[in-house]
Amino acid sequence: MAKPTFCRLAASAALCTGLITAAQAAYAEDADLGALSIEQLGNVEVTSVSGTAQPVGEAPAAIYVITSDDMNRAGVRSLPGALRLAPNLHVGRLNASTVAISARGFNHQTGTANKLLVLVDGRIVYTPLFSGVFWDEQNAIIEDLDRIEVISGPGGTLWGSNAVNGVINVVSRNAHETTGFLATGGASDASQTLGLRYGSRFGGSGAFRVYALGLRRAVDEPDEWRNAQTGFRADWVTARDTLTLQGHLYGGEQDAPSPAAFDTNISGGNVLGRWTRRWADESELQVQAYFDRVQREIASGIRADVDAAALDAQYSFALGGRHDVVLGGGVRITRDSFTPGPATVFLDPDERRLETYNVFIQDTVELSPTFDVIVGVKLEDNSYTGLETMPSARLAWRPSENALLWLGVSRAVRTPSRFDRDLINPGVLAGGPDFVSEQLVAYELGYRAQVTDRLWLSASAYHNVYDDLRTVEATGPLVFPLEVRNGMRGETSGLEVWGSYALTDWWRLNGGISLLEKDLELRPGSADVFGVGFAGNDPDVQASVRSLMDLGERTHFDLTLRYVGELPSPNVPSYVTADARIGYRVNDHLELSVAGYNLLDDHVEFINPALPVQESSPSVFISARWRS
Amino acid sequence: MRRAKAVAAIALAVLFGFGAASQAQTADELVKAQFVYRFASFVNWPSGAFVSDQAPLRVCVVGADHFATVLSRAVEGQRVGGRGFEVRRVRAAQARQCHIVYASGAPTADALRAVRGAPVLTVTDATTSGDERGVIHFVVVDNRVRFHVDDALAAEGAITIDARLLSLALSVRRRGSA
Repeated sequence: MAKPTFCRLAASAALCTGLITAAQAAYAEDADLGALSIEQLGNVEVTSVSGTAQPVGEAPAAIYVITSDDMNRAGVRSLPGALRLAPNLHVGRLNASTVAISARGFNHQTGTANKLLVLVDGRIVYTPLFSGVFWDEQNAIIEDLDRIEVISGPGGTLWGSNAVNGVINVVSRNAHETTGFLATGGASDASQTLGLRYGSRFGGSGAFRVYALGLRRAVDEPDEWRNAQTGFRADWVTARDTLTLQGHLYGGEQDAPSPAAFDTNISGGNVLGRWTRRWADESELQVQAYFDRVQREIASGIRADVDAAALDAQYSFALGGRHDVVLGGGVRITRDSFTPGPATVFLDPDERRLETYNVFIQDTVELSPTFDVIVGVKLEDNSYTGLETMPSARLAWRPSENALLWLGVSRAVRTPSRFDRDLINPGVLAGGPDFVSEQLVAYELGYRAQVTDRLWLSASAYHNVYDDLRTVEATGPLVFPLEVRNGMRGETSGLEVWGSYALTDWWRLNGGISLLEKDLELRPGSADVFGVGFAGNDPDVQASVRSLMDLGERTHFDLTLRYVGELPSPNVPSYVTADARIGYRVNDHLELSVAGYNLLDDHVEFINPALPVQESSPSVFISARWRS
Repeated sequence: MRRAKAVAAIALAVLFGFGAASQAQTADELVKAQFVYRFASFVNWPSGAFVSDQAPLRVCVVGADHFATVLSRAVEGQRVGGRGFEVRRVRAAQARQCHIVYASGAPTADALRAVRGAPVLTVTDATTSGDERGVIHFVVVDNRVRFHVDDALAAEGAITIDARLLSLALSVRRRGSA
């Protein structure tokens, strides 16, 4: 759907009042608006006045927002790196270019976690090959990102299939906010990053930026990764209309991480247009279209080409004073072609066009000034399983101005991917001709509050009931060929708590913890060969504490302590690690920083049995950022 | 100090978005209120626009009572060029007696018509004024308050706008343009 952010879409009588971040907590305590210059005023985040928008504080879901300030202070150099800041995600590095990311469990040992939907500026970036994300294709100049919204829990009603355990929205800045030159770069002994951007206004209401980004990771290591990307974004903003055009072009090379493996080359490009019209009565129409092409080639001869095109429209409006309605629909078509090379594993058919059509409606009903009920449903038709229904109902209660209690029941599905249905290895694997969608019904309860001036807290609990989870099953007494089926079901429960506490006006602590308990089982009659452990390799506990200090006007000093519990299978011991960064603003143009990562020890984050085990080791990264 | 804390508390509550809808509205209103009175520092009125050197700068609100409250709070104790501020709620027809007019909702067109050619800085808002545009026209872009400037319209009223303010505008309709 044309849904750049949760904030915009979660229609509600309550409006989008800006982002809950510790940065703003500190800001609000530090200074009232009157102390800001007129230039700074224009950078204060405020209500997005449209009736469709909803503040993070009001959104009845477990949403964590990574702000640009968070990313800058953490010295983030990649999207997966940024996602480590979200307490409701598990991020496990496999090697320089490969990372496994999931929410609420099901992080897959092959790095193909498939229950998390990821959008970059409204463009769905999961691959129809396995319904997961190739993170090495997703790069950006971090300084040009506005924020990343991380929603744990299902979002099928708004975002559609695959938004099962979570949704990640990466939102880049409007070109009006990125005028001028920016040069940003840094290096450690094993990695280098350089980004250049130029932006300017043009005409009466337009602005654009162009950028180029290059990176090298694990330099001279077996898994060295080189990537280059360029792109643009242009925005025209008038009183009624906003028009955005953007595009990216990239290419990368990854050296084989082991002698038994092969080099991988990727290239791709995409272009997106989005038009929003807002009327005086606060109704809003948004239309978005994009085209995306990705090519991956493994030197052994395996090659996958995936094209995706999508068109979405949505309209939101207030109805009779009590209802805020958003409705819309869209179509997404992917066409892939898979060349197996000399490998004995292939997709049958080797080319396939998949079509997804959807319509949705969501109504936020103001029952009373403190009670909202939000009901909605998405109907989505896909080429493999036909019609899928994704309803949800949520209740939001504001017992006081500073607190929100919410609960929700939602259904979400993960529709079959090419690998689920069409992957053939003669005599070994016979695809999944009967594989249907994996299903989830999620029960959630959450509480968020500004407890005191200094303390902000969010807690979400969930109980997820899954059915038709993927299994790989023996087809007879001889076991082979195996077939992909839906032989697993089960439940997970968990708790996610995070918060921010301002010790002083120059020092604050952010903390988060997430607990997960899984209880999965094979259905009677299932002849699964991998066992329930194959569904996900997840820690029971993750926790982190960040200390953020402003030492005077120009210097930041930040420390992060992170704990990730043991992973059962393949076993990865629990670890504690620390990062530290000191940033110094020399003047209005130049900022220098030194960061140390993984300072406590060498540790393994995640294991793919098919790849060499990689340790994350202590490293020091020096960087500089210059803005005109 | 107490006021600073009060404003900070409001900003906090509002920025954090926990308020009910009416309060949520004030997040952008707070910022817009700051803008509205501070525009005065970047605008020159013809000398005849004030009855004396000490006469307050009169900021009027048409069609947005709630905003008048927010604005009153924002200008408390503020001065520009030796003048204090006076916030008034007025009807469209009375807008001519003001230095700055913030017009909102249905009466916007009438207010703009009433002050046409007079030395009045008119401020409108994309979310409430529809297609009617004053000299300054607020829009919210990516959750930030921005504005367009119609310097040609300002010229009709013989008021001039400082280049620093023009440089902050999303767009400027220049003097002398049709």
